[in-house]
Amino acid sequence: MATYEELREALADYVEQAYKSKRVMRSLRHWNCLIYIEAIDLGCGYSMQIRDSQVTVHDGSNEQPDLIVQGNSEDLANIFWCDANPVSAYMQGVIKTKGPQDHVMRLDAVSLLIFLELNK
Amino acid sequence: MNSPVSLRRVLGFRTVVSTSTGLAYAAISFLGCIQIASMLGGDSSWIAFVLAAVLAGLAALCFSELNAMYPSAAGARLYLKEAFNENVSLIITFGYMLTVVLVSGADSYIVGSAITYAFGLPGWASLIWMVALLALAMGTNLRGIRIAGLLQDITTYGLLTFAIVISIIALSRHGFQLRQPFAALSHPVALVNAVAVGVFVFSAFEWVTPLSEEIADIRLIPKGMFIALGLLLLSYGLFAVAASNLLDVHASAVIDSPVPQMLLGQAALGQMGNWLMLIVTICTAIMTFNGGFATASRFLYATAREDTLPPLFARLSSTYAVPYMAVIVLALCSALIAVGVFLTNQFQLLILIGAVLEAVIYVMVGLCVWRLRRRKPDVVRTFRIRGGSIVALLTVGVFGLLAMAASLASDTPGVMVGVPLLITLALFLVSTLYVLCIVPRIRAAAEARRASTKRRRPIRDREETTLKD
Repeated sequence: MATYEELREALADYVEQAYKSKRVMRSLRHWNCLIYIEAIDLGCGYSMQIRDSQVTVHDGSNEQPDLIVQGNSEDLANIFWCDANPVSAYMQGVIKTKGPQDHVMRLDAVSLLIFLELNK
Repeated sequence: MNSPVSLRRVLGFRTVVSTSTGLAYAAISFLGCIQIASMLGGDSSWIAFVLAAVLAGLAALCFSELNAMYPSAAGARLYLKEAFNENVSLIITFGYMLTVVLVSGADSYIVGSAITYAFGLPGWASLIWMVALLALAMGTNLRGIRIAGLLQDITTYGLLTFAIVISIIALSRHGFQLRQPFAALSHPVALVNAVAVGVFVFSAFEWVTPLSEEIADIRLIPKGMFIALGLLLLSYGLFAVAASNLLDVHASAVIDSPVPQMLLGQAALGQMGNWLMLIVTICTAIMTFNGGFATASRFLYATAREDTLPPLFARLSSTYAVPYMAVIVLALCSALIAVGVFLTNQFQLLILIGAVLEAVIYVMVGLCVWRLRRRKPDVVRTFRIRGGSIVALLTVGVFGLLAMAASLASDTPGVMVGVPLLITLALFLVSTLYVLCIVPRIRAAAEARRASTKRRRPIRDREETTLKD
């Protein structure tokens, strides 16, 4: 089980990698979304705000999100470190989402672009 | 521990119903209705629609329970994997996706033909309209343009209203006098064949289940599906009865027409009926290309991301977050189907193949419910079918029989006996060979690529201690 701090670190790295990639920044241009990432085993979560090509992460939830991603902390940490395939996890029912499929696709697009950038 | 977080926006019940109805209401449904009407005597096709709707209700119950267990856009892919295994899930869902390609291709052919008919253009113009429509659908999907929410509701409910009103007007031409409204009961074999086609006409209502990720109360999904089935029954039933009442549905000019809905519109309201039915037909195409296309392209994308299709299908537009290769391939396959139907006029064969595929899917869904009741009795089911496994087994039995009836096509003019069976078997054989022979290679290649990538997640002290131990 990943700790709260480990998951926070994974998200921080994810955001850092997003900013490093031109393709990711291009994909964020037309996307505004508040994502709540919930670690079910830890009973807590983080909010990732994507607005005006800016990505910020803060603890907990201050407003209602556009998309909710739920899973156990270990799987979420692996996904946000780009060590695990989020689509496989989703199709296997390991992680669950709530919200429009358009937002889910966008989030996966970001993950895929970061993964491709890291493994160039 | 945090209090539960809820979405900012959730879809309403109205949209659940319109999505379920709209996804089922394809242009080819009109041809299916005429085919059903032509199989039965008098104005008795309503009996086949009522029976098909009741049977579709069995499938709806099964989907409701499975969706309650696994409320995910992965849908049937996940149900089949949990009930059987990964390979069975892939083989069946590839077949499921094929129905989308068949319907998309057929719809572009029908809408192209409807436009040609409405404007009195020569027959070859349909080919141009078909290609133009598919290009437009591909273009809008590539740009990530989707009709959703209120606009989707307006399109679906508008389409239903127009279709129902025109059908009622058509029936009023003979003072609502029905000829032999119970004739179908005297021909049980023909009735069974008609019900098998009816399954296809109602199918795709269940594609609303992915919306369970966008609504607040998952119980809206089963309610929405049943109301959608009721609306579809009303619309299809009235259309088919109106067609048999006002047109000669046994004449080749009607049975072989790709635009029977235009013939009915014209017979009921003259040129005004033509235009209204053209609007109805275009609305059905919007639903098909808006909903079915996007869903199928995302399925292809997700399957490629899971390393079960070539990585080509996972190519994504970074600007629009659209799986562009999946969309392009879908459009090309649909175009091939459309051109094939245009050249051969074999849309009745297409309907029968669609009916077989859908019946097989419903058989598998019934089996999923039955198996999961045994394998995972403790998984929470916010919707549970009453009466034990009877409904699930009934679903398996009934749709199994209907699949056989549709695959033999014993009563369909222009279609050789057994051809739908052969084609369906060939499709599943190809799917099986692909899953058993090609997928392992794709996965091995993906595994090799992954083995060469370095793990990024830092190893913590406790892990180091464990490793030392």
